Amino acid sequence: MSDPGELLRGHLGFWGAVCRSISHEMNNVTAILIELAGLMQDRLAAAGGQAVDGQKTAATLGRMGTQLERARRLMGLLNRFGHSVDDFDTSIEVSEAVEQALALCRRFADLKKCELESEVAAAGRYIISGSPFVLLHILFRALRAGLEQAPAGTQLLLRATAAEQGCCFEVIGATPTGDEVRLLEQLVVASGGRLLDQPGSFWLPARLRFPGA
Amino acid sequence: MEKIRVIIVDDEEEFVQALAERLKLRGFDARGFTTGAEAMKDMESNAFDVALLDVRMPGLGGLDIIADIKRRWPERQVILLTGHGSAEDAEKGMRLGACHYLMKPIHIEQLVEILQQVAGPGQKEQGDE
Repeated sequence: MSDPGELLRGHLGFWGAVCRSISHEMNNVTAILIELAGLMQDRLAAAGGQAVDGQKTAATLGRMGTQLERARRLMGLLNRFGHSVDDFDTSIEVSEAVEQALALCRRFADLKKCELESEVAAAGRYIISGSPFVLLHILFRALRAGLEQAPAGTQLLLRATAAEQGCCFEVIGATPTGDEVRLLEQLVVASGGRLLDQPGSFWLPARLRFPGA
Repeated sequence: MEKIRVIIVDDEEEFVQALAERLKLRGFDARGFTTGAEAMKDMESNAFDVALLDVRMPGLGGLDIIADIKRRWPERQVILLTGHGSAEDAEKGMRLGACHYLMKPIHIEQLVEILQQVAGPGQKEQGDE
C-alpha cells in the first residue's frame, strides 16, 4: 500500500537531497577556486615585484582548470536533473538514467567511502516510457538504500537487465535496509512495478506510472 | 616569535594544499590532511595550536573528532569549516568545544585574525603551560 502524502514527501525529499548535494559540491569548488586565485595573488605579493615561478603558476592555473571542469560537470548534472520534470511521459533510455542516478548518488557514496558501478548489459539501448524524474528517484532510492548500512570500501553495483515488458534492476554489494527501503518499495509498487525476491531488486514496467499522481 | 601551528583537515585536497600554502606565506606553520584519521595520527606525535576541521568528510568528520581533540588536548583550539546549509552542524560543534566556525568559501584575512586571536602571543604561551 502506498501513502500519497509519503510519496509526495519522498519526491520532494529526493529533489532537496540532490539540490543540497550538488550545491554543496559547487560551494567546495568555489572555495577552492578562491583559494587558488588568492594563492597566486599571495605569491605575486611575496615576490615583491620580482618574477614569480612560472612552473608553479602554470601548475596552479592547471589546478584551477580542473576545478572549472568539475564545476561545468556539476552544472550539467544539475541542469539535466532540472529537465527531468519537463515531460512526464517520454522515452527514457535506461542506460542514461542509470548513469545519471549514479552521478547524483556519487557524493553520498564518497561520504561513506563506497564505490558505485553500473552494468546495463542486455538493457543497453532499452527504452521505457514515463517520467524521467520518477525513474531517477527510484534508482536513487535504491542506491541510497544500499549505501545506508554499507561499510566503508563497499562496491555497489546497479545492474539493469531487459525483461519481458519491462526492466529488472538490482543493487548488488550490500543489503538495502532502513527507511530508504520502505519508500523505495512504495515507489516501485506505485509506479506499476513489483519487488523481486532479492532485497534491493525490482522490476519496472515498460510504461511507468507516476506514483502519487 | 614562535609560529602558530595550524592543522587543516578537509577532504578537498586542493583546498587543503592552497590554504596551507597561503597560511605559510603569512608566517604560520600549516600542515594539511584530507582525512580525520590521518590528522589524528599526526596530532599524536606533532604538536599543534589550532585544528581547522571540515564538518563533513568521508570517514571521521569534524564533529566526530572534535570531542576527542578537546578531551586529549583541552588547551588546543578547534575551528570548524562548513559549507552552506550545515550551520546546524557547526553549532553542534561549538557545543562540543569549537571556538569558531567559518563558512566556506573563507576569507583568508578573517581566518588569520581568528588564528591570531585564539593562538597568538599570550594565548599560545598560556596554552603551552
